[in-house]
Amino acid sequence: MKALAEMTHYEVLEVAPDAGPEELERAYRLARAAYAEESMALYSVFSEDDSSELRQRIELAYRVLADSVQRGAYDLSHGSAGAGSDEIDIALDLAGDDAAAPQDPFELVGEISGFDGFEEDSEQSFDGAWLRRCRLRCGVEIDQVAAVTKINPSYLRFIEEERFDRLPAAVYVRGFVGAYARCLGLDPGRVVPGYMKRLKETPKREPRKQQRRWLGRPV
Amino acid sequence: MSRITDPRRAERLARAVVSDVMTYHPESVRAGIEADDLFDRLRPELEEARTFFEGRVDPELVARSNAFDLALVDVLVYRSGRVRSRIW
Repeated sequence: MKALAEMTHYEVLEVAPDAGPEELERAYRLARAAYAEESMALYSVFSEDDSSELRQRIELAYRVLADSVQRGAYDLSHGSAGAGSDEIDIALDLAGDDAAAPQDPFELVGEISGFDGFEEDSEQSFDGAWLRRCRLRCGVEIDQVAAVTKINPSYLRFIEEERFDRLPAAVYVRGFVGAYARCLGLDPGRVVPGYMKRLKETPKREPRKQQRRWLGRPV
Repeated sequence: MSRITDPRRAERLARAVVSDVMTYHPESVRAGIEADDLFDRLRPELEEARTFFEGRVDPELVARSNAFDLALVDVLVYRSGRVRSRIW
């Protein structure tokens, strides 16, 4: 059996990649009931920490798969959009060595040192676009940050895009941004307060106007 | 800010920048693969990505390396191998 961390959202909910909304909802309810805090069936099987982690994964899997935008991005990044076996074979053939030997994200992030992002501009506002540029300068993909920090890649993207309306409560965002900064070798003590100030200043009921942005500039 | 002179770091930067095109424009990438017009459809984004890459890599290395073009194929095309397309 795969470790929980290695399972896809579809595997967590035990549904096929082409599962429709009703099937997804049914699977979510079933999983939630099966792993409920008061479930006697699990009492002797999982520790309290394991059960809690399982429940968090179930909630996360459902949140992502129930949202068509997040699900689309997830499918594309994980290649699970109802692909047929012939297409998978082609993809594996095409990917060649790239698929056979993916770079270990921990190893990659461990190589990051001497980052000069702070020196470049002393008037930093620590906004999402700046975080993204820092990440790119380190040569790190969003999925690699996600693998190290265990933060959903969609949330990392929303942090970079400052789509505050799509992010969870501020207390979680604070933790996410701190983990993200640490992953890039940045000082969370400077990045987090700057980012949270921006979040706080954005009116709750007026999500920031969505703009197509690329590398920090409107396009 | 010093420019990248290590080919391996340049390759990594290229892959990260191109990967972001995929992360931020998943639908355009999918549609571009399906219709086999990926590079036309994403021209502005890819040009911007290339500019970003070339702005951070030593010009001599840029001139003698095809890291960015390889990243386009490795990341945008190969990772979309599951999308139905007449390309394959």
